[in-house]
Amino acid sequence: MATLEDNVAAYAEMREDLESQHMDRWVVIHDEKLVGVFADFQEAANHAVANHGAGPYHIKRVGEPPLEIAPSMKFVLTHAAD
Amino acid sequence: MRPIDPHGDELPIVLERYGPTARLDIANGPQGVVQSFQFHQREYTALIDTGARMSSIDVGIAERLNLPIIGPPIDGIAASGPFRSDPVLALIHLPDFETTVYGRFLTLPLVDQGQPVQVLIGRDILRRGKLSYDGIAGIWAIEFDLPTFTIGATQSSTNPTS
Repeated sequence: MATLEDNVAAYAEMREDLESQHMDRWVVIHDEKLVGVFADFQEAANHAVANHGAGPYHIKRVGEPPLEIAPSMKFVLTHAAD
Repeated sequence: MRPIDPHGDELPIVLERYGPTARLDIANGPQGVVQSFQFHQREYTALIDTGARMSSIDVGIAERLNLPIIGPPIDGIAASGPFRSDPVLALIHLPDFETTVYGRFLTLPLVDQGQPVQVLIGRDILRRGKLSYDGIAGIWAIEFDLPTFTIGATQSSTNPTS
């Protein structure tokens, strides 16, 4: 069975085609194959769990910008004076 | 609109001090069979974080629940130093709003960072709902507009939020 890293690499290979056909939709990559294209994350996750259990699978929004950390995690006060 | 008062203080003060927070339960990760994807009746606290594009969950909780990793890691720097975060899949339940929703969560050291919550609900989940905030009355509410689905089913059939 393909690993998560294999599925991520498979997405990278498909990326150009996916962005031309399915921009902003959610995809599930399992065993290095595209197994579904969905309108939202809820549908994609439900399909992935129902058909592939714990995976590994890669769930990705086509064309999304890089993931980012919540600003509240970046700017936690460690000391404050009254 | 449903008032949430987890702290027992005057609602406007609570809302100003802590922000909109909600009780939350998290399902155990799918262990290969859908039937094992169960909630474990443990209560966590989530902050509605409109400043965050991505939702997040405490890394320790994600590891204990064995939540499946669904994407490549990203590197970040927090007040405690650099860390690596894996995006995981989690099914959360918000009992005060009778809502069950899947989310993609970054795993972050929220507890170690001193955050008073274990989950941050960011705009990626909020985009599926309507959020209202009344600072004068100290109440807030969220309504989700989710596609109909049955947990673990490939075809839509029922809506658990109705």
